[in-house]
Amino acid sequence: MQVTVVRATEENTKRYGKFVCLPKLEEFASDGWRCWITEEFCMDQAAKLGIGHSPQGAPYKVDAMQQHKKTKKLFAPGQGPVVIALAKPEGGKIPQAADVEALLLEPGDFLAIDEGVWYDACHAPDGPTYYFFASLETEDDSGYIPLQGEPVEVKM
Amino acid sequence: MIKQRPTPITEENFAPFGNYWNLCTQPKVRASKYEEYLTTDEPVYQPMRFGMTMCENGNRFAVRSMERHNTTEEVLFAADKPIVLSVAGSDPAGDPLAEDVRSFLLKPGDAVRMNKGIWHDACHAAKGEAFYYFMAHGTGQGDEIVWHDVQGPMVEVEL
Repeated sequence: MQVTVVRATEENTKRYGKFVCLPKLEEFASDGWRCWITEEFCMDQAAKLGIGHSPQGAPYKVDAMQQHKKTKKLFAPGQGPVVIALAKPEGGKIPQAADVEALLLEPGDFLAIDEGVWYDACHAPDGPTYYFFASLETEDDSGYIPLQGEPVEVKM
Repeated sequence: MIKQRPTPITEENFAPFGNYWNLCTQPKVRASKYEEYLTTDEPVYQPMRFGMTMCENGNRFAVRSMERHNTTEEVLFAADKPIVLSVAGSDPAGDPLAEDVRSFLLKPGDAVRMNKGIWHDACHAAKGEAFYYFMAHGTGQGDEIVWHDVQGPMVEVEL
Protein backbone atom coordinates (compact mmCIF):
# COMPACT_ATOMS: atom_id res chain seq x y z
CA MET A 1 0.00 0.00 0.00
CA GLN A 2 1.26 3.49 -0.83
CA VAL A 3 0.70 6.69 1.12
CA THR A 4 1.43 10.11 -0.38
CA VAL A 5 2.93 12.79 1.84
CA VAL A 6 0.63 15.72 2.65
CA ARG A 7 1.67 19.09 4.07
CA ALA A 8 0.82 19.22 7.78
CA THR A 9 -1.87 21.72 8.76
CA GLU A 10 -3.76 22.52 11.94
CA GLU A 11 -6.76 20.69 10.51
CA ASN A 12 -5.12 17.44 9.44
CA THR A 13 -3.08 17.14 12.65
CA LYS A 14 -5.90 17.92 15.09
CA ARG A 15 -6.49 14.27 15.95
CA TYR A 16 -2.80 13.69 16.69
CA GLY A 17 -1.90 16.66 18.87
CA LYS A 18 -0.71 20.25 18.56
CA PHE A 19 0.70 21.62 15.29
CA VAL A 20 2.00 25.16 14.89
CA CYS A 21 3.54 26.87 11.88
CA LEU A 22 5.53 29.46 13.82
CA PRO A 23 5.97 32.05 11.01
CA LYS A 24 2.18 32.41 10.94
CA LEU A 25 2.25 33.86 14.47
CA GLU A 26 2.91 37.49 15.39
CA GLU A 27 6.44 38.41 14.34
CA PHE A 28 9.02 40.14 16.51
CA ALA A 29 11.99 41.58 14.63
CA SER A 30 15.03 43.79 14.91
CA ASP A 31 18.33 44.22 13.05
CA GLY A 32 19.19 40.92 11.41
CA TRP A 33 16.58 38.69 13.06
CA ARG A 34 12.90 37.75 13.09
CA CYS A 35 11.28 35.51 15.70
CA TRP A 36 7.99 33.91 16.64
CA ILE A 37 6.87 32.20 19.86
CA THR A 38 3.65 30.48 20.88
CA GLU A 39 1.35 32.12 23.40
CA GLU A 40 0.60 28.72 24.90
CA PHE A 41 2.84 25.97 26.13
CA CYS A 42 3.85 23.57 23.37
CA MET A 43 3.40 20.68 25.81
CA ASP A 44 1.91 20.65 29.30
CA GLN A 45 4.87 18.73 30.68
CA ALA A 46 8.62 18.68 31.19
CA ALA A 47 10.80 17.09 28.51
CA LYS A 48 14.19 15.73 27.63
CA LEU A 49 15.70 16.97 24.36
CA GLY A 50 16.86 14.73 21.55
CA ILE A 51 18.21 14.61 18.04
CA GLY A 52 17.47 11.92 15.46
CA HIS A 53 19.48 11.09 12.35
CA SER A 54 17.67 9.60 9.39
CA PRO A 55 19.94 8.06 6.74
CA GLN A 56 17.41 7.91 3.91
CA GLY A 57 14.66 9.97 2.33
CA ALA A 58 11.39 9.13 0.61
CA PRO A 59 10.26 6.82 -0.76
CA TYR A 60 10.66 4.65 2.30
CA LYS A 61 8.83 1.81 3.96
CA VAL A 62 6.90 1.91 7.24
CA ASP A 63 6.63 -1.64 8.55
CA ALA A 64 6.59 -0.84 12.27
CA MET A 65 5.60 2.06 14.51
CA GLN A 66 5.88 2.98 18.16
CA GLN A 67 3.85 4.88 20.70
CA HIS A 68 4.38 6.40 24.13
CA LYS A 69 1.55 6.08 26.57
CA LYS A 70 2.92 8.41 29.23
CA THR A 71 4.39 11.34 27.33
CA LYS A 72 3.65 13.71 24.53
CA LYS A 73 6.43 13.97 21.95
CA LEU A 74 7.37 17.12 20.04
CA PHE A 75 9.05 16.97 16.64
CA ALA A 76 10.79 19.89 14.88
CA PRO A 77 12.74 19.79 11.61
CA GLY A 78 16.51 20.32 11.62
CA GLN A 79 18.23 21.22 8.37
CA GLY A 80 15.16 20.99 6.14
CA PRO A 81 11.64 19.56 5.83
CA VAL A 82 10.84 16.17 7.35
CA VAL A 83 8.14 13.59 6.80
CA ILE A 84 6.49 11.94 9.77
CA ALA A 85 4.17 8.93 9.48
CA LEU A 86 1.41 8.79 12.09
CA ALA A 87 -1.46 6.49 13.01
CA LYS A 88 -4.24 6.59 15.57
CA PRO A 89 -6.36 3.46 15.17
CA GLU A 90 -9.64 3.23 17.06
CA GLY A 91 -9.89 1.19 20.20
CA GLY A 92 -6.22 1.11 21.06
CA LYS A 93 -5.43 -1.41 18.34
CA ILE A 94 -2.07 -1.94 16.68
CA PRO A 95 -2.08 0.14 13.48
CA GLN A 96 -2.50 -1.35 10.05
CA ALA A 97 -1.57 0.17 6.69
CA ALA A 98 -4.93 1.89 6.23
CA ASP A 99 -4.41 3.82 9.49
CA VAL A 100 -1.13 5.43 8.38
CA GLU A 101 -0.85 9.05 7.24
CA ALA A 102 2.39 10.80 6.23
CA LEU A 103 2.71 14.52 6.93
CA LEU A 104 5.34 17.04 5.88
CA LEU A 105 6.79 19.43 8.48
CA GLU A 106 8.65 22.47 7.14
CA PRO A 107 11.33 24.34 9.13
CA GLY A 108 9.35 26.60 11.43
CA ASP A 109 6.70 23.95 12.10
CA PHE A 110 6.48 21.78 15.17
CA LEU A 111 4.15 18.93 15.96
CA ALA A 112 3.62 17.70 19.52
CA ILE A 113 1.80 14.36 19.34
CA ASP A 114 -0.43 13.21 22.17
CA GLU A 115 0.15 10.20 24.36
CA GLY A 116 -0.73 7.01 22.53
CA VAL A 117 -0.28 8.27 18.96
CA TRP A 118 1.72 5.83 16.82
CA TYR A 119 4.63 7.23 14.79
CA ASP A 120 7.62 6.23 12.73
CA ALA A 121 11.03 7.95 12.68
CA CYS A 122 11.13 11.15 10.60
CA HIS A 123 12.63 11.11 7.11
CA ALA A 124 13.58 13.83 4.64
CA PRO A 125 11.72 14.20 1.34
CA ASP A 126 15.02 13.04 -0.16
CA GLY A 127 18.38 12.00 1.30
CA PRO A 128 19.61 11.96 4.89
CA THR A 129 18.50 14.48 7.47
CA TYR A 130 18.26 15.15 11.18
CA TYR A 131 15.45 16.39 13.37
CA PHE A 132 14.83 17.38 16.97
CA PHE A 133 12.41 15.94 19.48
CA ALA A 134 11.35 16.55 23.06
CA SER A 135 9.69 13.98 25.28
CA LEU A 136 10.01 12.03 28.49
CA GLU A 137 10.30 8.63 26.87
CA THR A 138 12.19 6.09 28.87
CA GLU A 139 13.70 2.67 28.44
CA ASP A 140 10.33 1.28 29.53
CA ASP A 141 8.64 2.27 26.26
CA SER A 142 7.43 -0.48 23.98
CA GLY A 143 9.67 0.13 20.99
CA TYR A 144 8.68 -0.52 17.37
CA ILE A 145 5.74 -2.88 16.87
CA PRO A 146 5.17 -4.39 13.38
CA LEU A 147 2.13 -3.06 11.53
CA GLN A 148 -0.73 -5.51 11.23
CA GLY A 149 -0.79 -6.78 7.68
CA GLU A 150 1.15 -5.23 4.83
CA PRO A 151 3.70 -2.42 5.22
CA VAL A 152 3.22 1.10 3.85
CA GLU A 153 5.40 2.76 1.24
CA VAL A 154 5.62 6.52 1.83
CA LYS A 155 6.15 8.56 -1.31
CA MET A 156 6.29 12.26 -2.02
CA MET B 1 36.22 48.79 21.09
CA ILE B 2 36.26 45.22 22.39
CA LYS B 3 36.83 42.66 19.65
CA GLN B 4 36.14 39.01 20.26
CA ARG B 5 35.73 35.76 18.39
CA PRO B 6 33.11 33.21 19.40
CA THR B 7 34.37 30.31 21.48
CA PRO B 8 33.11 26.79 20.69
CA ILE B 9 30.67 26.11 23.53
CA THR B 10 31.46 23.51 26.21
CA GLU B 11 29.83 22.49 29.46
CA GLU B 12 32.66 24.18 31.35
CA ASN B 13 32.83 27.53 29.58
CA PHE B 14 29.05 27.97 29.58
CA ALA B 15 28.63 26.97 33.25
CA PRO B 16 28.45 30.57 34.56
CA PHE B 17 25.45 31.18 32.33
CA GLY B 18 23.52 27.92 32.49
CA ASN B 19 23.63 24.35 31.20
CA TYR B 20 24.92 22.96 27.94
CA TRP B 21 24.14 19.69 26.16
CA ASN B 22 25.66 18.22 23.01
CA LEU B 23 22.60 16.27 21.89
CA CYS B 24 24.70 14.12 19.55
CA THR B 25 26.71 12.65 22.44
CA GLN B 26 23.76 11.87 24.71
CA PRO B 27 22.73 8.24 25.35
CA LYS B 28 21.35 6.44 22.33
CA VAL B 29 17.62 5.72 22.41
CA ARG B 30 17.34 1.96 22.67
CA ALA B 31 14.15 1.50 20.70
CA SER B 32 14.93 3.77 17.78
CA LYS B 33 14.77 2.87 14.10
CA TYR B 34 17.87 4.86 13.24
CA GLU B 35 20.23 6.83 15.47
CA GLU B 36 18.46 8.90 18.08
CA TYR B 37 20.05 10.48 21.14
CA LEU B 38 18.20 11.85 24.15
CA THR B 39 19.32 13.74 27.23
CA THR B 40 19.06 11.88 30.53
CA ASP B 41 17.98 14.99 32.40
CA GLU B 42 15.26 17.41 31.41
CA PRO B 43 16.40 20.68 29.83
CA VAL B 44 12.68 21.50 29.62
CA TYR B 45 11.93 20.93 33.30
CA GLN B 46 8.57 22.68 33.19
CA PRO B 47 6.01 23.41 30.44
CA MET B 48 7.41 25.90 27.96
CA ARG B 49 6.38 27.95 24.97
CA PHE B 50 8.14 27.16 21.71
CA GLY B 51 9.71 29.65 19.32
CA MET B 52 12.00 30.06 16.37
CA THR B 53 14.34 32.82 15.25
CA MET B 54 15.67 33.36 11.75
CA CYS B 55 18.92 35.32 11.79
CA GLU B 56 21.61 36.50 9.44
CA ASN B 57 25.11 37.87 9.62
CA GLY B 58 28.08 39.00 7.59
CA ASN B 59 31.70 38.57 8.70
CA ARG B 60 31.17 40.46 11.96
CA PHE B 61 28.47 41.95 14.12
CA ALA B 62 28.16 44.32 17.07
CA VAL B 63 26.51 43.35 20.34
CA ARG B 64 24.59 46.57 20.93
CA SER B 65 21.76 45.54 23.22
CA MET B 66 20.57 42.59 25.28
CA GLU B 67 17.55 41.34 27.17
CA ARG B 68 17.22 39.11 30.22
CA HIS B 69 14.31 37.29 31.79
CA ASN B 70 14.16 37.20 35.57
CA THR B 71 11.22 34.85 35.74
CA THR B 72 12.10 32.15 33.19
CA GLU B 73 15.03 30.14 31.95
CA GLU B 74 15.42 29.98 28.19
CA VAL B 75 16.27 26.81 26.29
CA LEU B 76 17.86 27.40 22.91
CA PHE B 77 19.29 25.10 20.23
CA ALA B 78 20.81 25.59 16.80
CA ALA B 79 18.72 24.06 14.02
CA ASP B 80 20.07 24.16 10.48
CA LYS B 81 23.48 25.88 10.72
CA PRO B 82 25.96 27.15 13.33
CA ILE B 83 24.94 30.25 15.30
CA VAL B 84 26.66 32.64 17.69
CA LEU B 85 25.11 33.29 21.12
CA SER B 86 26.35 36.35 23.01
CA VAL B 87 25.63 36.51 26.75
CA ALA B 88 26.67 38.62 29.75
CA GLY B 89 26.62 37.79 33.43
CA SER B 90 26.16 41.44 34.44
CA ASP B 91 23.76 42.42 37.22
CA PRO B 92 20.24 41.62 35.95
CA ALA B 93 18.94 44.62 37.92
CA GLY B 94 21.20 46.97 35.96
CA ASP B 95 22.44 46.93 32.37
CA PRO B 96 24.67 44.52 30.47
CA LEU B 97 28.33 45.61 30.55
CA ALA B 98 30.59 45.34 27.52
CA GLU B 99 33.39 43.82 29.59
CA ASP B 100 31.10 40.92 30.58
CA VAL B 101 30.04 39.91 27.05
CA ARG B 102 31.03 36.40 25.96
CA SER B 103 30.20 34.88 22.60
CA PHE B 104 29.75 31.14 21.98
CA LEU B 105 29.55 29.14 18.79
CA LEU B 106 26.72 26.57 18.75
CA LYS B 107 26.52 23.92 16.04
CA PRO B 108 23.33 22.02 15.19
CA GLY B 109 22.95 19.57 18.08
CA ASP B 110 24.24 22.04 20.66
CA ALA B 111 21.58 23.06 23.19
CA VAL B 112 21.67 25.39 26.18
CA ARG B 113 19.41 26.41 29.01
CA MET B 114 20.23 29.94 30.11
CA ASN B 115 19.69 30.75 33.77
CA LYS B 116 17.19 33.38 34.82
CA GLY B 117 18.66 36.87 34.62
CA ILE B 118 21.39 36.11 32.06
CA TRP B 119 21.69 38.92 29.54
CA HIS B 120 21.62 37.70 25.95
CA ASP B 121 21.49 39.05 22.44
CA ALA B 122 19.50 37.40 19.66
CA CYS B 123 21.79 34.81 18.08
CA HIS B 124 23.52 35.56 14.80
CA ALA B 125 24.21 33.14 12.00
CA ALA B 126 27.87 32.16 11.93
CA LYS B 127 27.66 32.57 8.17
CA GLY B 128 24.84 33.75 5.92
CA GLU B 129 21.42 32.84 7.31
CA ALA B 130 20.43 30.33 9.98
CA PHE B 131 17.50 29.52 12.21
CA TYR B 132 17.30 28.23 15.75
CA TYR B 133 14.62 27.14 18.18
CA PHE B 134 14.06 28.50 21.67
CA MET B 135 11.73 27.65 24.53
CA ALA B 136 10.70 29.63 27.59
CA HIS B 137 8.13 29.19 30.34
CA GLY B 138 7.02 32.81 30.01
CA THR B 139 7.15 35.22 27.13
CA GLY B 140 8.03 37.93 29.61
CA GLN B 141 6.24 41.12 30.45
CA GLY B 142 7.24 44.71 31.12
CA ASP B 143 10.97 45.06 31.72
CA GLU B 144 11.43 41.32 31.05
CA ILE B 145 11.38 41.94 27.32
CA VAL B 146 13.00 45.38 27.18
CA TRP B 147 16.28 45.46 25.31
CA HIS B 148 18.97 47.32 27.27
CA ASP B 149 21.95 48.99 25.56
CA VAL B 150 25.28 47.37 26.36
CA GLN B 151 27.23 49.84 28.49
CA GLY B 152 30.88 50.62 27.75
CA PRO B 153 32.96 50.26 24.61
CA MET B 154 31.38 48.73 21.53
CA VAL B 155 31.63 44.92 21.41
CA GLU B 156 32.33 43.55 17.96
CA VAL B 157 32.27 39.83 17.26
CA GLU B 158 34.43 38.69 14.36
CA LEU B 159 33.83 35.39 12.62
